[in-house]
Amino acid sequence: MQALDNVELMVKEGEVHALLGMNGAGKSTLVKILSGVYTKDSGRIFIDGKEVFINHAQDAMDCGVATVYQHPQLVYTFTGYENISLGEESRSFVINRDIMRKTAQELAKEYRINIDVTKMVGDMRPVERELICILNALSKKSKILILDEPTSILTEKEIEILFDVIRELKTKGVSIIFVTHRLDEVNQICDKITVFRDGKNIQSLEVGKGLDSSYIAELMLGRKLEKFYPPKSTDQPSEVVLATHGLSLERRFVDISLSARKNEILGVFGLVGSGIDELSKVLFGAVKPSEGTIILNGEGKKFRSPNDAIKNGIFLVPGDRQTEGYVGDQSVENNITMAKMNKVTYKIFGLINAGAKKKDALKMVEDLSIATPTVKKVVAELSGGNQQKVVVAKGLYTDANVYVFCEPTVGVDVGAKYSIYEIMRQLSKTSAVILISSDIEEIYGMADRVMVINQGKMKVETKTNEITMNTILVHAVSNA
Amino acid sequence: MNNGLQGNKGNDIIKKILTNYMLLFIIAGIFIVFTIRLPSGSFASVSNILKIFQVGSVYSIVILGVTWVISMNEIDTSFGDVAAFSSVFSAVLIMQVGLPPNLAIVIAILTGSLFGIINGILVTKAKLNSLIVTIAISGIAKAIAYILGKGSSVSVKQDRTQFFYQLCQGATGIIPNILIFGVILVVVMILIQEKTKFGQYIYAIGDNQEAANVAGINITKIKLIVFFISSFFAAFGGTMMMLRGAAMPTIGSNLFLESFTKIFIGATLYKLGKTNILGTFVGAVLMAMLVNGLAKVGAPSYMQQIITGILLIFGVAITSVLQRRRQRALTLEE
Repeated sequence: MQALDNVELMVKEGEVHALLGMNGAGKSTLVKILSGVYTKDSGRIFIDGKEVFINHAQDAMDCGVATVYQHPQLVYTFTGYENISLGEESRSFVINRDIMRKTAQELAKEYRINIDVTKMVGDMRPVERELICILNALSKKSKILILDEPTSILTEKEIEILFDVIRELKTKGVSIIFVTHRLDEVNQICDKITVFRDGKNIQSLEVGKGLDSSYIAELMLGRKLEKFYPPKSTDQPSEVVLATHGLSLERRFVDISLSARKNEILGVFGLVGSGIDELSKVLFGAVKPSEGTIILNGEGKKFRSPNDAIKNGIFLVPGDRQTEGYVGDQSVENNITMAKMNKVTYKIFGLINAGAKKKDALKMVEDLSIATPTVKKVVAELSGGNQQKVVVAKGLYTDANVYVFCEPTVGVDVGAKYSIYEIMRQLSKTSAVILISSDIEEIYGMADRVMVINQGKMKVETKTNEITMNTILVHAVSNA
Repeated sequence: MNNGLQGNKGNDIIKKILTNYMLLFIIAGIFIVFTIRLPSGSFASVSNILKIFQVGSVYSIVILGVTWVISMNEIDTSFGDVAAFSSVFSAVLIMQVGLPPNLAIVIAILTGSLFGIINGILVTKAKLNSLIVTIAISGIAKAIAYILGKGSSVSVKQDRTQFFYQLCQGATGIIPNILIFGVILVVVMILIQEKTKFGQYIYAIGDNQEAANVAGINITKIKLIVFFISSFFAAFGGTMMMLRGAAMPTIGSNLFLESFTKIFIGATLYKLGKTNILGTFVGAVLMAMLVNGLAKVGAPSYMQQIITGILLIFGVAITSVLQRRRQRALTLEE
């Protein structure tokens, strides 16, 4: 599959141009090509009418293209001005911090950026770090600034600060490519938008007096839902198994109250950076909430660790399976039995019962039809879909009452996807299942009830058949 | 536009002084305890204090380079055995080959520095883990020292007129030359650390290698140079020990624990949980004072080992608390 297909983009001098699209629409790929991280297969790039060739990060820098990523690459133990001039210090061996500081301060003043550049970056707030990155770009005389989802980790007040800076940059003739999936911001700050979908630029529009959210949502979504999901539950949902009350995590999400039941899959939809990933970690005890309670079977619980959560019958199939889901260089059977070794361990000395372990693992492999020649095969050698099935099997092996699936089908092929959905549906008959995902089709296709989180806030909660996919998306992208 | 980005700093300054200069308070405390415990004139005398500083200088010079290696987020465990190698090698060159001492010492230092270049190449070009690489090189250096010294220490007849002998063992007035040299060296290296691009890059790499890379810094070059410097000073220190009487192939293992203690306890001083030249020097003086005082009190030698171990844990604990606090700030905000 092509990540980008015949994409066209025109950005004028002093223009703020938004790139909009769902995850995987191709925005990030385009950014990476323009900043020299990826190399394009074909096509041409022009700056000021002259063709340029960007093959390395250095080329982009030389062409005056600078990118500020969501997680800025900065040296956190250095001050702001040291970061602004990092790698660009004077030619001489000796550095003069006074000059470095003054240059940085003057630059900040020129662009009316109010920031204390003498502070250590580690002590700075996220918006200040982004401003340091912007100043670093400006110190290199960059004319084109790419901001990759710059607002996703900022508070509203911080976003205002950033927008003020962007307005000032515009008047100085700096062109800005603004990657986002938030429509309210587009109306606030952008001059023009280009919507991406499936690696193509679908449409470019002048923002003018403001764009209609539902029209843009339609452009971003495009096709209709394919028949791809197992049938939804027809049984009456049971009593609440897991509920949260006013659950909050500082800076990430606030006041989330959800309830998960048997016979009903609860879908939690939010865009990347909306706080859904952190929510899954809080439910699993990996991160402590700053406020709120988790209620399991009517009883208030505080999970001190994932181990604690597993003991209480909660299991998370994590979003990033490579780093959190499985131990790649260990066998299928080791991975499957890992979270509940007690089941195959003798009471005496903790000796492992190898026969029982193999038997249990084999049963899981059969139940979930994991395609592996033997249970001794190393998980890293399986396909993405089968790896994910191993992670699910590990969860099933704990006999949990609540399963939280976080982005369960990322990087999973179509066939395996369907069987993971079937497993989820099957599980929901005996346990509560929460599906946390930024894939709107998955949410719409799987969830019996859906809840939208936008910028860490709960937006809507309703039965899936009482809402359209379009409306869900509008709730997720519009002003919070 | 006033958005309140400038935070209030009042409380921070007091906290900063307390955390940044805690080590100096500890030294003052230990000094007072020994002064009270010991008969007047035996500990807090000018000659004894000078002696403490002299020993501190010698042992800090050995590990000045290692300090930077650790600042760069790598490790060099080979310094002790590189010192042993150059110590024995210089002794053999003087006593068995018959080279003039100055020449022998220069040759031994340069040969010892080769280990650093090998470390650097294996870490940067072959991309091997520096802990394992330097342990391996350490074993090799030690073995060569044993072979050269035929398994035992080599005593050296010193020529007291020679430059290096005067530098290490001589004195100007009452002040030992090595103390003067050590202080000058430390000052120069602090200047390099704080006032040059090279010093800046060492810490940039140590804190966020990817950011350094994106900024166009030649990481391979900096790392190679720092590993070279590390072995250079280790080899230099080895020859200094030879000049004190005899060259021993075993000095490496003695240096190991106390050296890391000096470096990490030093990391609590001045650069916010980062190993640094000034900290290493002060750490070495602290250790010298402890050893000196404990010997005078008549404490058994294992006491010194225990205290050294505790100090090392203390230094590492503070360093990692500072780092973890920063890490936590990051995970919460990003």
